[in-house]
Amino acid sequence: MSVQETILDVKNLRTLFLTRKGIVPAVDGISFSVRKGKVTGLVGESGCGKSVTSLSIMGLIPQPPGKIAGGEILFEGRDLSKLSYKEMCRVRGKDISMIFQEPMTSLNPVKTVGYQVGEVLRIHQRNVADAEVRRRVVEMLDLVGIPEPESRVRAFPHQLSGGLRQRVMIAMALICDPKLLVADEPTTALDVTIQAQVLKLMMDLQRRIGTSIILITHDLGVVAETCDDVNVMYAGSIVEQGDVFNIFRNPSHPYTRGLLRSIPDTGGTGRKERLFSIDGMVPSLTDLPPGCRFAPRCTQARESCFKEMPELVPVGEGHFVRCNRAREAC
Amino acid sequence: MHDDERVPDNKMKTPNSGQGIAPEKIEVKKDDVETLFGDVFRAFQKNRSALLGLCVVLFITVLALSAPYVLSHDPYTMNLDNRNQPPSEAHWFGTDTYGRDLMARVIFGARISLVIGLIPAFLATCIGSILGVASGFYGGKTDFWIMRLADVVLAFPSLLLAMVIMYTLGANLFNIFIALSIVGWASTSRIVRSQTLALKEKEFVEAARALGVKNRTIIFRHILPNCLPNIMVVFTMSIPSAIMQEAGLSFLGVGAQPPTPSWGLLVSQGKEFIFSAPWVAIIPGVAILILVLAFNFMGDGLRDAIDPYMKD
Repeated sequence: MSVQETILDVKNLRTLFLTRKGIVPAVDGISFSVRKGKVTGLVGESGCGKSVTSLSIMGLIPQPPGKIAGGEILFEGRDLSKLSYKEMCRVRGKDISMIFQEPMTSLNPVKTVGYQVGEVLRIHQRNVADAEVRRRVVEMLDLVGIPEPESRVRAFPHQLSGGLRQRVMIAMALICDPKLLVADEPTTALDVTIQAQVLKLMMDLQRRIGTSIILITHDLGVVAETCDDVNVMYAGSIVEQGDVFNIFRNPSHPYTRGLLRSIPDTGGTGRKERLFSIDGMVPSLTDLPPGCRFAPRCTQARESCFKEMPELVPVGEGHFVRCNRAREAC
Repeated sequence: MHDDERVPDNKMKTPNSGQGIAPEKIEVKKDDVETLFGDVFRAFQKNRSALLGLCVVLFITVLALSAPYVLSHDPYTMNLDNRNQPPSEAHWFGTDTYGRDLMARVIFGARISLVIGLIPAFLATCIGSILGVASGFYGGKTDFWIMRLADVVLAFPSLLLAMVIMYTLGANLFNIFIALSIVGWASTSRIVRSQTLALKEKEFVEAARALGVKNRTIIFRHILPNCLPNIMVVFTMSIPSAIMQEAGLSFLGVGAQPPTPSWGLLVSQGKEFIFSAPWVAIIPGVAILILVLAFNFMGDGLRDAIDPYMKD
C-alpha cells in the first residue's frame, strides 16, 4: 500500500469516552491509511467504532465526554488532532467533507437547499459574488443529478425526498472539491433502489473529482461494489485490513468470514439454507475480554486466544489480520 | 466541473443508461413552494378569536396613529369649568378632574401603551434570545452564569424589580424601556435555551460543523432561525405583559408622569373619584383590558398556528 501516495494516515488512534460506568475505549489503537483517489471502506457491526473513527478524523467528537487519547491523524502530513478550532474549521468542508447517515435530518429545515449548499462555498471562499455562488450551486445540484436545479434552489428540505436530500448533502460536501470525503453510512437510510443511485453517483463524482473516500458501512455488498481497500473493525479495533480482492477472496479472520457468510444468498442457486449468523453479541466496550476480542464468539478459538491480544500480522501482500491462528494457516 | 467535463455527467443522468437508474422526478412549481409562514398564516386565519384580536390591535394602532388628525379635542388642554363631566355628545368619554377630554387622553394613551408594549418586549425578546441561545449552545460556565442570572431576575416579583429599577433610574419613558427589558428577558432566555439544547443535537448542526461552519454562524444561521416560531410566540405574549407592567408602574406613580396620558396614570388619577365620576377610572381601565386581551388572543392564535411545527 505504501507504493501509492496516501492522503490520510491514521496511526494508532485511540478515542475514549469517559462515562459514569468507566472509560469506554470506542476506538482502540487503529491504524489505516487512505490512498489518494481511492475508496477505503470501514466495515463492521453497529457499535464497533466506525462512526467514532470518522468523527475523530473530523474533530467532531464531543469533548467531554469524548477524548482523543492518543495517536495521530495525519492529513497530508498535518496532524488533524492537534489543529486549533479555527484551523479545523478551515479544513472541514474544504479539504475534508462528510456525508451523514440521515438525509432526513441532516439539512436545516428552515433554510432553502440553495442557501445551505451555497453557505459552504461562502464560508470557504471569501469574496464570492452572490451570482457566482448561485451559479455554482445550480451547477452542483445539476451535477448530483437533481432535476430542475434552477427551481430546486428555492426548495426547502421537507419538499424533497430522501434520495434528493442525500444528493443535496453530497452537493454540500463536494462543492468545495474536498480532497477527502468521509461518508458515514450514506445509503443506510435510503431504500434499495435509491441506494444504488446514490452510490453510483458518489462513485462517478469520485472518479471525476478525484476525491478519496472513506466509506463507512455495515453492508458488505456495498463494499464489494465500491471500495478499493477494506478495513474490517470489531469492538474498536481493526481485525482485518487489505484490498477488496484479498478480503473477499481470501478472508483470513474468522469474523470477516462470518460476515461474508451472513450475506443472504440471492444468486438464484436454489439453495435453501438457514442464513448463517455469528453467535453471541459484540462485547461491551467497558468490559472487554483480555485476549482476542472476538474469541468468545469464535468457532476456532483456542485457549491462547482468550489470554493474549493478537497483533495485526501480514498474511499476504498488503493484507493484515489480527488473529493468532491466521499465521498457522499460512 | 468545467463545461467540457459535463458531457459524461449528462450521460450519467439519462434514464436508460445501463442499469436504468434515473433520479426521481418531482414537479415543483413556484406556487407549490410552501413556506412555514404561509402555513402558519393559513392556520391563523381560521382562528376567529385570533383574527378578532388582530383586528382590535390594528384598529387601536390606526386610531393611535391618526389621533391628532381625527380628534377635535386636545388631550392636554384643561378646562376647570368642565371637571368630571359624564359622557356627553361633546365629550364621548366625559372629562377628567381637570376638565380634559377623556377620549382624547385615552386615545393618546394608546400610543404610549403600544410603544411600551412593543419596544421593551422586543428588546427583552432579543436579549433573552441571544443569552438563551448562548447559554444552551456553549453550556458549561456560560450556561451556569446566564441561568443563575435568569433565576435571580425570575425570583423577584417582576413589578417589584421594575419599581426598584425605576426608583433608581428616575421615572421617565426611556427608563421604563430599560426596566421592562431587564425584567422581561429571563423567561425568553429559558425557553430559547431549552430549544437550543434540543436543536444542537440535531444532525443538521453536526453536518454544518462537518462542513466547516463556525459556532457563531451555526448559532445565528441554523439554531436561531429554528427557534424563530417560538420566539415569535414569546414576543407576542410578552407585549401584553409589558403593557400591564407599564400601566402598573404608572398607576403606582413610578412610571409615566403627569400630564402624560398613560392609561395607568389615568386610572390612578380617576380612582380618587371612583364613586362620583366612575368613568374617569373605568374607561382607561377597560381600554387596558381590551388591548391586553386582543394581544393575548393574537398570541394564543399564533401559538396554536405554529404548534404543529413545534412538535417536530
